Amino acid sequence: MKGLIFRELYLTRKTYISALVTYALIMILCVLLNLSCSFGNLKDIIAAADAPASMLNTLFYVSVITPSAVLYIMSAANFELVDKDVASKWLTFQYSTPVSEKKYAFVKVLIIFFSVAMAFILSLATAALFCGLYGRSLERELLGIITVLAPVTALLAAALITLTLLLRSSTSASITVLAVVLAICYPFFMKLIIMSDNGTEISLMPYLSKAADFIPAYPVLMLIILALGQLCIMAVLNRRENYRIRSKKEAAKK
Amino acid sequence: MNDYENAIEISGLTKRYDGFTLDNVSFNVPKGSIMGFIGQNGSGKTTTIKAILNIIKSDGGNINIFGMDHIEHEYEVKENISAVFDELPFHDSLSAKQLEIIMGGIYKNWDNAKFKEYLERFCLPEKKPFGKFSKGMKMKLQIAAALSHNARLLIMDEATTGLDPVVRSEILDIFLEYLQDENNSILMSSHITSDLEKVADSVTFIDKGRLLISGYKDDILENHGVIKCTKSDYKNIDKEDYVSARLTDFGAEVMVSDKALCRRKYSGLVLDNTTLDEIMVYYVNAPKKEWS
Repeated sequence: MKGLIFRELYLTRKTYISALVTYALIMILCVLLNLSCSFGNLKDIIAAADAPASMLNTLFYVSVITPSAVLYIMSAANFELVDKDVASKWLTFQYSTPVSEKKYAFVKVLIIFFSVAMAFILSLATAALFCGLYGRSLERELLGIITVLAPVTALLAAALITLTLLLRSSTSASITVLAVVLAICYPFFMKLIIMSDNGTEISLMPYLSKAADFIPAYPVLMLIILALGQLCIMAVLNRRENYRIRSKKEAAKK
Repeated sequence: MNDYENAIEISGLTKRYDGFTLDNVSFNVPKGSIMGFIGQNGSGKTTTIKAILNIIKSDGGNINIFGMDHIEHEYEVKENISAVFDELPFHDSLSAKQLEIIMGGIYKNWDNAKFKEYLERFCLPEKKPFGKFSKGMKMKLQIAAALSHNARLLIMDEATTGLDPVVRSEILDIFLEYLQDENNSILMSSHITSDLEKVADSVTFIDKGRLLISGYKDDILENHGVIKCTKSDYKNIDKEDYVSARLTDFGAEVMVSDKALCRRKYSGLVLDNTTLDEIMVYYVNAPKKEWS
């Protein structure tokens, strides 16, 4: 199993480096934006606005959530490695080695866990940094968002890996997951639009409060999701026959 | 573990697909030998190899490797098997240095020193990504990896196809070296019969999912021969005595499977020795009996 972990790390390190570089760039932008709001050109614009406190509050949330969201999204991006596993015939080779489906799936799940954990820790550090800059305490709602994103990302990552193995294409898997996510989120967005049309202020606070209510449950939820992810990946890998039949069809097409 | 007669024992292997059936295939790969597994493209060689490796589930038959059931003892068996495929199964961005660490974590008996020795011998760079390797280098790398965990059985699926004769000859030498240890065995699927003629101890022919011949190469070559005769002489040859016959404008070439008998029976005709290549062609055309 150690070999599989090293393999994942060698092959995904570019993704992690890109994630960290993107995170660092966004952080620099957010810090510069905040400095400008406190001491630069934007200070006067905000002071002249109707609700400067509300604007600063929004800026604070955007500064914390944007880099965190980027980290979480990129932590789910290593599903593309599965595409390479299929293309390079690694999966066929792997079946000739003493690596079981269980080990392969476990390593995938382990990588999801560490990627999401890394995103969570860096998101907390980001939140602590901006709380310090704004002189605010780490609010329950903010912690709720950062924490709820962990199981959601783990779910997306596990679903993307399973679907990529099943559909043999990371693009098809991404489109499928995106379609499902949009279908689930549609009512939520519609509600926001309706509120906006009525002239009511768009506010995510009720949702954030709800998310914060379940903070202790998220680590458990994440473990359940990862366990289910392991089972799903194993179930798809056990269908070795499909790989044989599809590769024969692909060869015929070529 | 060493107490077995045949590295692979296959009996009644059957696998059905739409439009193709691997039909009741049985053969053994004796311990300490190289078996050449020959057949046309699509004859069922890869299906058989995948069944041996439990990549596909068979519809019938038994496969024993090192005297053990290949499914019941799958991981124990696979610790001692190396499979080499026609394409490099490692990602292009990896290097030999990284592969050493990866494989070291996969196989209990991985030998870093041996792997390095093979890399040096094959002149393979340790840090160059595989994407920049030539086809020959990629195959040598696969073989280096396959031979570095003290596997007792090497299974090659069309691994020498597309390689130039120099690289192929180098690889064949390595196999002969590998077989110096009498506990090691090789199953080598290929349609380059000249390679197998050089190194194989036994040969199995397969066509359209059916086993045609399996046995020691020398016996097969000894028993088979080609009668070259006129069309009128050909008409006097009993149909039971030959596999198939090629009719040309100049006469007939008839493949016989019992050279000694035919030499006695048709003493007036020229009976030449044959090659695995010719045997394969005549057996593939055996259902037609006569072809041109």
